[in-house]
Amino acid sequence: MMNTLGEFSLLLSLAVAAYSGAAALLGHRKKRPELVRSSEQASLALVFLLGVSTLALMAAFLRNDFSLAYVMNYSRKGQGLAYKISALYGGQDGSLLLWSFVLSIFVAVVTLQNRYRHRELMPYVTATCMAISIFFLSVLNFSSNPFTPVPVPPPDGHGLNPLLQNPGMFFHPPTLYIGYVGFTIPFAFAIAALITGRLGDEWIRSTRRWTLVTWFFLTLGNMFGAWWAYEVLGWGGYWAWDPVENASFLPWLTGTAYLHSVMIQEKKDMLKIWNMVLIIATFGLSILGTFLTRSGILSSVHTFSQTGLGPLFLGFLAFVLLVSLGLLFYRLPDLRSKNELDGLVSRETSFLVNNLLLVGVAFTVLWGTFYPLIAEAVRGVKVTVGPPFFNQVMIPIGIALLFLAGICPLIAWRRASMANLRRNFLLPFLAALLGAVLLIPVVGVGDPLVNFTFGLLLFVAITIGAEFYRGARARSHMTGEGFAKAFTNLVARNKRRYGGYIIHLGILLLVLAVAGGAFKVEKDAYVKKGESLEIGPYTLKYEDLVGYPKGDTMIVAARVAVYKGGKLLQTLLPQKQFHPGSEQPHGMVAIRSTLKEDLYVILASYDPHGASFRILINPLMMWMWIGTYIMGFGILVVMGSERPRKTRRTVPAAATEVPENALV
Amino acid sequence: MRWSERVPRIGVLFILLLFSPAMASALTMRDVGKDFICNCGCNNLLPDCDMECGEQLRKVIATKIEQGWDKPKIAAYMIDNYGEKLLAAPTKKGFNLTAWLTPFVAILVAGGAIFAVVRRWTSRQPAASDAQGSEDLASLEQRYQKRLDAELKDFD
Repeated sequence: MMNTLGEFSLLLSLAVAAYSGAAALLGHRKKRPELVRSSEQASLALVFLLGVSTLALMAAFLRNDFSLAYVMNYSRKGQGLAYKISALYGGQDGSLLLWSFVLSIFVAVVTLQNRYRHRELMPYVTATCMAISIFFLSVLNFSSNPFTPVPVPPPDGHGLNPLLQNPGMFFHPPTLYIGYVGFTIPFAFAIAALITGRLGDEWIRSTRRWTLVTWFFLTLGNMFGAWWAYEVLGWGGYWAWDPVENASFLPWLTGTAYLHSVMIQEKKDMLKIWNMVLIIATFGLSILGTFLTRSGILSSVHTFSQTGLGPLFLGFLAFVLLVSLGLLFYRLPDLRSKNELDGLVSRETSFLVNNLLLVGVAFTVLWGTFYPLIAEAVRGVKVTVGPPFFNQVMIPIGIALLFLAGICPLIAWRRASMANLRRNFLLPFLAALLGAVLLIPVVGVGDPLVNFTFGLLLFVAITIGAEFYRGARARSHMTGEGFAKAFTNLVARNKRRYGGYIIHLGILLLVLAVAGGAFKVEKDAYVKKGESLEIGPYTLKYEDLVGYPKGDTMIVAARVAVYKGGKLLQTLLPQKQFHPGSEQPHGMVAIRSTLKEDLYVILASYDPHGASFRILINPLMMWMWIGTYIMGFGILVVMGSERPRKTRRTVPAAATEVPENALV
Repeated sequence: MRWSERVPRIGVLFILLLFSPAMASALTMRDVGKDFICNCGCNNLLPDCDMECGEQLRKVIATKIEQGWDKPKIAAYMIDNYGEKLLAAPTKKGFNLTAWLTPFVAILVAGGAIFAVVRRWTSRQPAASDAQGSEDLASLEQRYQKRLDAELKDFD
């Protein structure tokens, strides 16, 4: 009954999405506001219908209803409750359902937010969102239906991939989907602006909050993925430049570029074409990410998610690009800015260079990801583009970006003079130089690039810190407030600016953790029971091998006592986990984390006499996760400045007026 | 022995040590394996792969190291036997050079275009002295005070 309801609801939601899109366009064209309202009501109904489908599927997981192929493939009776819930998006069908459901929620929120605002744009925003929904709902209904039954239900299911049964994977897919889906909203506003010819910064201002939230979730999604790779995959790293990882990094890069470049449009009414290109690219890259994940066109660790839907997504991507770039081309004359920059060296120019580098990084990631296909087409030889390529190519571009993050706050808007640059740069430069020299006893001089990076990190941190200090001091002088109060008020009254700096500080900590990788220590060793091995300042004693059940999973763990200076610090339990229905055991690393470094112990293999371990000391790793929290805090601060203005609950006269230059 | 005699002898000894078999045998599986990727689809570098296929490839490398092969010879052997795809990054020769150079060329070309456009824009601006129009002559304190004044005015 529930399954039938879910399936029917899914089919009905396709019809409702089609109606909503058509009614929005028709209502606007025929100047019938009641039809536009009806289309918006339909978009709200979509949330209910897709909510019913999602709940029905979740109920099937919770009931162990193996009459559904999807439940059979991704769940089993002994699976923990949390992973029965996360199994909902453990496979393609459920992921697409979740995607559609999240999109419907976003569209509903936009609809409610804009009942009395942006009435000229809204019909096209609704229609664009519905066109995207129609694609996903068509795939769901006719190609990838999670309610497809099996002829003979088995007594138990296959279970979720054991690698996905981890808290990191509980959060990684939904946060990433929210990030991907969220870019639909600014994209839809951009398309609406192109169609209606309302090409000012109205569409940008109305989607700033959306873009920030979306960017936040995309950041979180990527960081949850990195955390999962670090904690679960057990190879000692957090980012392997896997094609699917790259796919989620690409929209983040262009989205970041967009968040910066819209400031120029808001301030100077410039870069209108570029901002359109960036938002189209960001949405397109979100779809490309799904295509890469589902198509299996490139060799990836995410093979569990490969299906035959690749061509459909490629076709959809081509359609999206064709329509949006066609509109952009049509509007080019209207988008050209009459304003120009005042100085070659200015804050505005630094934003341009920031965009160049961010898009350059995105291009490099895209190029590296697809190069194996290019090489095979040209040379007929398969090649791999893995971490050594990306690490080498990214380092110079990354350093340039970091440098830019440091100098940007020091350059004046409009036009900077040499005197200005000298005055602003000298102190931070000298302080960073001094700091880098003082750090030599800690980091050594083995690799000049490492010294340079640490010096640069200090430079950027000092420039950002100085911005806070100067602002708070000036406010304190002016108002007589204490420094702490002046500092708080300064941030509170200019959340966008200082929230941005907080985000930059978070990124600095991320880079610090990455730079710490230069001091990574690795050791592979076979150790007999009762014997010890040394790594860095630690002595690790392999005490015993223990086995115990956890749910229906059998755990085999090595007890490893960690000593430092003869003092017992902790006993670690690196494991091999034997999941029912899984051919190979899965390793579970044991990590001792401190602010200084992570001691990372992998149980590679074992026999009755001893065990093989892979041990790493990963310096400064914890700062990566701390940096993520700080970025999150910064985003919350910035969003505090984006409260929607209160509007009168009356429909403006122009609500149904079609501008003269509108396309339809 | 005088220093003038000692130095060349120490130098010769150092060079001999550098190229001695003892130094060659210091080559580890990790040194060689980090240039290769596992061919089972996990996309991990060879030393990081904990699957059976990775273990087999590591054994091949370990055997060659024990036989006294140097890194380039082992690399050539691995490519001959398992294909260029086993290399974790494209070689820096022939067509593969495009993989390495294209990102930098693209950024430089785009950067050059941006520079040209901004230069054209700024050259059309009226020549303003530092005393005119530009906020950079105001001291930082003044800049903040101006902003504060505005904020406080709003606040009041």
